[in-house]
This record gives sequence, C-alpha cells and structure tokens, in this order.
Amino acid sequence: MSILETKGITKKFAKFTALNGISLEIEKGEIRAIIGPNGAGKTTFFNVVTGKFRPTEGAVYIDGKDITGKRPYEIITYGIARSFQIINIFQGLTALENIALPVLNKHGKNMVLFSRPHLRHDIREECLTVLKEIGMEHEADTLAGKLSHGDKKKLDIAIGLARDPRVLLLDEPTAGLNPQENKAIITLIRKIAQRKNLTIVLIEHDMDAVFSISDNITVFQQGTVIADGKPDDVRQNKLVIDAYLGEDF
Amino acid sequence: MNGKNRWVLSLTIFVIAFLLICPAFLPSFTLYLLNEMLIYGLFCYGFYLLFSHAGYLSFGQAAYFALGAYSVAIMYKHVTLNIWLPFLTVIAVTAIVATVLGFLSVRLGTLYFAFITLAFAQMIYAIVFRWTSFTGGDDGLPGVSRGMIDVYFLQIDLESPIYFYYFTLLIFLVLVFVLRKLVMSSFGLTLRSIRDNAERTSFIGVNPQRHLLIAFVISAIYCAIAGALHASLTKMAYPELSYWSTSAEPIIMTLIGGIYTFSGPFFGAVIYIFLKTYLMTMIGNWILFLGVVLLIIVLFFRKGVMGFIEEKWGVRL
Amino acid sequence: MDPGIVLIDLLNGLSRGMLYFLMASGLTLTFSVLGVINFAHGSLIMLGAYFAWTLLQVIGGGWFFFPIIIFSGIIVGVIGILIEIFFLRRIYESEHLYQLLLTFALIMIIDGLVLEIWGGMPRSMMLPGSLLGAVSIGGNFFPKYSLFILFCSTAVAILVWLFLYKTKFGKASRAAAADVEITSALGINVPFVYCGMFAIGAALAGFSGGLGLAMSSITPGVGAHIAVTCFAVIVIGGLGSLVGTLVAALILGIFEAFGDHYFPQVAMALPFIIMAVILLARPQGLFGRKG
Repeated sequence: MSILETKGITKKFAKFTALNGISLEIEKGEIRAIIGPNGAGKTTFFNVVTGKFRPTEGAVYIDGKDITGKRPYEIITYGIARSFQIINIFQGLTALENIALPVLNKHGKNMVLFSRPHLRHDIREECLTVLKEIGMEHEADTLAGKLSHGDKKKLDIAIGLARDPRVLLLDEPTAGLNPQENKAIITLIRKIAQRKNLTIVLIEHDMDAVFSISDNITVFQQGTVIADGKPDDVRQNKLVIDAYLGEDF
Repeated sequence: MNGKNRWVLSLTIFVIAFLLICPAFLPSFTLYLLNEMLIYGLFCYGFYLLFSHAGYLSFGQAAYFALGAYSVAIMYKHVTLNIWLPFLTVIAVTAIVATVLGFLSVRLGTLYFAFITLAFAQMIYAIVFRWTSFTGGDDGLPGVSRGMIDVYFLQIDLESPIYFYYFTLLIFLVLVFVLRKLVMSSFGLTLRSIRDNAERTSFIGVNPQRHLLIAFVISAIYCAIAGALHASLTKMAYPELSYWSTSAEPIIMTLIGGIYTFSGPFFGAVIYIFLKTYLMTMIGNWILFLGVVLLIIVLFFRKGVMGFIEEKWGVRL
Repeated sequence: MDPGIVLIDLLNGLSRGMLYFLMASGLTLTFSVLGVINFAHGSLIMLGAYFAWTLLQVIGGGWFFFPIIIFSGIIVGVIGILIEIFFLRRIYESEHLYQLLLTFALIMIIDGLVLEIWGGMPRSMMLPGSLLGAVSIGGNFFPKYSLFILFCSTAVAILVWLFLYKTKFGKASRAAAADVEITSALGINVPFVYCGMFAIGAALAGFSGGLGLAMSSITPGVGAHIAVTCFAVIVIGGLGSLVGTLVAALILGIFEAFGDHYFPQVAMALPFIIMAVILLARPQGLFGRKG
C-alpha cells in the first residue's frame, strides 16, 4: 500500500480551479519530485494534503487512512511534516526552541503547564541531535531571526524533520539560495533521504537536483498531472518539454 | 548561577522581605497604596500572560475584573463573609464566562480578536449597568465587605487594613509564583511560538486555539481575582470597571514596567500608581499626563523601565 | 402598531444612521488608505463639538450655525494634519500594537486637553431658532434638527463619494488604498496622500461632532463612547469598505431607533451584540474582503 495517496483532488477558489483531479500514489521510502511551471498548483497541492485547504473534491490518504479535510495539527499526528517555500520559522525563538516545539509535540508535551520538559536533558539532547544533523548545533542558542538565510532554510526543514515524520513534504527547499547554500541543502536532502523510513515529496525548480535525487517525478501543469514516472522517461516526454518551453530544462 | 543572576535573586528576596515586614513601619495610607499596587499588579499579570506570551491584545480583561468585583460584593452581602465560597464563586463564574467567550474569540485573528473582546466588554458593561436589581446599576454596589477567614479554629476579620494587606500579599505571591512556572514551562514556550507564528504551530501538531483558550481563561481568572480584591479594598463595585477603556490601564501599566519582562507588570503597576497618587495633586490633569507618558514610551521606550534595565545590565528580570 | 409612529421611528433611525455614517466614514477612509485604525477618532469627533460650541458662544448662533460647524470640521482637519506629520508617520512601519497604543495615547492627550480647556461641566450648544422644534409628519412630531442632520449627512456623503471617484486626489487615495507600492512607483506622492486623507478623515470627524452633538450634552467622556460605536459600525460593515460603513451605520441607526422604542433594556448593548454576531459569523464584515 502506498504511504501517501490522493484520489481526484480538485480545488476551486471562486471561479479559479487550482487543482483538477490530482491522483497520485507515493510508495513508502520513495523520493518523489513534483515539478512544473509556476502557478501549476504544486504548493496548493501541498496545502490540500497538509490540511491548510479543504479540497473541493477528492480525498487524501496516509497509509490507507482518510485524512481529507482534517486540520493541519491533526494531520501532523499521522506522520506528515512539511517545510515552506518562503521561510516560515519562529524568528523570535532560538534555534533550539524552534526544534524543541515539534519534539515536544511528538512526545505530547506541549501543554505541560508547570515543568520545563524542553530544558530537560533528554529533550535537549534530542533537539541537539536534530541540529547536529543539519550542522547547526553550535547555533542552538542563537535567535532564529539572526541566522543566515541558508541556515534559516535548513531550520525550516529541520522543524519538519524533528517530528520524525513518515512523509516529509519539502516546498522548494532551494528557493532563494545562492549556489553555495543550494549545495548545502541538496547535500542535506540527500543525507536525510537515506533514512529508510522516510518518504520525501519535494517541489523543486532546480532540475539538476531533481534528476539526481528523485526516484520518480510528477509533472504538474495548470492544476493537472501531465506526466508521471522515472526521471529519464519524464525528461523525454514531449508534453513536459512543451510545458517548459522557453524555460531552462 | 553567575554573579548578575545572584544579584537578581537577592533583590527579589529583598523585595519580598520588604513586602512582608513593611506593615510594621508604613503609615496606613502608604499601606493602602501598596495594597492597590499588588492588586493592579495581579490585573497586569493577567493581561501580560495573554498579551506578552500569547500575543493577543484584549480590551475585555476589564470585564473579568468587574465580574470578580461584583461576584465578591454580592456573595459577601447575600451569602457569606467567609472568603472561601465567594472566591470560589469568582473563579467558577469567570472560568465559565471566559471559556464561552474565549472559545468564540480565539478563532479570530489578533485584530478581530481585539474587536470582539471590546464588543463583549461593552455587552457586560451594558448588562451590569441595566440589571439594577442585582448589580445596583449606575450606582454600583457600595459598602463591599473585606470578608473574613473562618477555617476550623482560625477566625480573622479582614476589615483590618493590615490583615487585608497580608491576605492580598499572600494571594499575589502565590499567583505570581504560579504564573512564573506557567510562563517558563513548555506551555509558555508553545504560547510564545503561537505568538511568533501561529500558522507554523499548527503544522507542528499544535492546536493553537486550544492553547489560546487555556491562556485566555487563566488570564481572565487572574483579572477577576484582582477585581475581587479591588472591590474589597475600595469597598465599591461599579459598572465603569467593565468599560473598554478601563482595560487600557493594565496595558499601560505593563508597558511602563516592561511588556516583555516578567517583573514588568508588577513594577509598572507600582510606578503608575505611585505617579498617579503623588503627581495628581501637583499636576491635576492625570489623563493628559498619562497620554504624554504613553506617547513617549511608544515612540522611544518600548521596552519599558524593567526592559531598559534588563538591556543595560544584561540580565533577565 | 401605528404606521405613523413606525414612520417616525424609521426616520429617526435614518437620521441616526446617516450621522453614524458621517462619524465612522473618517475612520474607514483612514483605515483603507493608511492601514491604521485610529482609536482617537471618537476624540476628534468630540473635539469638533467643543470647537463648535466655543465658536457659537463667541460668534452667536442663528445663520452662523452651519458655517461654524463646517469651520470646526476644518479646524479638526488641520489638527489631523499635525497629528499625521508629527506622530502617525513614525509608526507606519511598527507593529500594529504600537500603532494602536499611539492612537490610544492621543485619546488621552486630546481628552485631557479638552478637560483642561473646557472643564468637566456638560456643555450644550445653542441651536438656531429655525432648527428648533418639530415638524408634523403623518400626524406625529419629528424634531426639525433630526431632519437637518439627515439632510446634511446625506449631502456630505454624496460630496465624499464625488471626491473619491471624481477628483484626482480621490483617485490617488483609492490607488494608495489598493496598492501602495505601485501607486508610489507611478509617481504619486504617497506621504501627501496619507496626510491629506488623514486630514479629511479628521475633518469629517470634527464636522460630524459639531453636527451630531448639537442636541446632546457634550462632556469630555463622550469621545470614548462615540469611538466604540464607530468601531461597531466599521466592523459590521467591513473594515475599509465605505459602502459597508454606510449600510452598517444605517442598520445600527434603525435598530437603535426601534430598539429604544420597543426594547430599551437591550438597546444599549445592541450595537455590540450585532458586532459580536458578525465577528463570529462573517469576520470580514458585510462588505469586507476575506483575508
């Protein structure tokens, strides 16, 4: 059974149809890239899957369970996490605190009213482990707002990762990065992709990255899937080439 | 613990010690003033939890202040002078009203939240104003008792200024201690994350509304207890306590003290009441003065007095 | 129900409603163009009433009444210019809280100055003889001044509409309200538009104060009371929508007129009940846009 499945997802905003009948099946442990021109509905798709938007039609399943229309904080408990195209971290908290939040949530300890689990040794260790994985353990007590742009992006991804998800949705992780930062993020993604239990779905425009990391690629255009398959097949698909006419491909 | 933190701890102990022994040497008027400062300090702490940590500005906390005042006044007059039941009533009534109103309010973003708290505050004002038979209407309820403590063999009449002061001080210290724990806990961290980026918190698995509601109710209870103590101290309860502009007082006091500093609310209340009492005779037009002070703070001293000291000295206060 | 009385109540409601519109319109314009909710708006309205009162004392009533009210509006407009230049400008970039607190400080400063200059005693204005008394409508009496308010408010509302849609400044303001960056890039002097718009909002406030409070007693506390009614109007109508403000003001005015007559107990809380209902059912208000 696929770990993430969508059936006929359609999303309409007033008169504009952003998504039209998206049906995907993503297998456990797969690395799936979603590509397509701007405005194709890729981020909207993520928003529907993670519960920010309710689909007009269709259903979303995680591991066979129907999560359609549930609120984001419920869906997260099914093991999905995501990062954001535009940096969406807690700028006023330290890097460690940013990671502590999802870790606490994982342990069900966000509402502890009187003690300080986030300062307890084991939780702190867990946060530092996550920070180590992204190479930022020395920045643990730095205010997130003061980090470099590249570090902020890493933190954004790490916040999703910290909850130990089964499926990680990455929305344009290399957006807005210079070549050096870009390389660091790709290396990071490659590293976490090696985790056996992790399925990654990534929206990307950096084609080198996409073709080198992904197991499968799905191509969106104007709210529909126009191609779906192995990187080499997609690369030669005429529809896809037409869609990207004029863009770097 | 480094040197500076040791200083802070010593100062805190000093302040608490002072508060404990001062009735021995302070004149009764000053004691009354100090009592007021503790009460308004509690009011400010209620506001502080909701605003500085959850990030939600409410114009309606004064409504809970009024609720507390009227609950205690009515309970003392008609039911019993023994403090337990009246205060329990204050907490119960506030918890119920705040849960209902809070549940409706926290679904909204911060701006509309401010407006709905304003609307609810005005509604409660109107109810208190109109329900003359129960609340005394425009005249309010005069002659509110200070109650007494009656448990087993212990009987203390709180009418005495000194006993009532210690009563207030005890409640203040306990509630502030509890708040400190709350704020430093993971619940506090989660609240601050909601203030920072409410959207992202829901993508971490946190239900922002539920956390906000809890903070809202706790905040309301603090304000209500302050209101109850205030009614006993001043021996009055009146509708204006619920008017939306009354909610401005804790906002301003907390700003003066330091809106993001834990000791800010208390010292803000102290400074405000001190200035109001001693400057009123000299300046006369308190509102104008306060407006200018607020203007200066908003434009130049956003961190407030304690925040300013915090920054210069490099400690957390 | 006597249809004659219903008609009177309706006219009463319309008169109040149009006055509320006039009072709240400045607030809506300020919010839609500058993005700031001016909590001191009620105080500006009150200021207009006090200026009108003083001028009436000094110059005398009669034919001077209407020009004086207009002039009071202009004075408050000038004060608005000063406020915008010296205070508001500094906080456009700040968090909403500080904008709110600044305008709150202004409430206290204005209310305090009013107390200082005019004292706490309630003041009432001398209406010109021609506007006193009542007319007979359908066999019942309706105050002449209420009709006067209705006519004036409607006239000013039309003027405001013409200004926004037919003049260059009006169009520039609407552009700035829609998208500041593009407007600025098109070469329009945005700071000037901001200042002018705030001044116009203040002038409308001052004028509505002089007009509206002529029949009531004027005290330093009246500003806070009017302010909160204006907030109810703009929230119900939808922040930033002038049409919404008009509709909401009329609804409130009519509800209040009938409420005062048939349900006086609830009338006081009515605007806030409606406000809360709207916030819960449709937070963006009747005509506001979502998000």
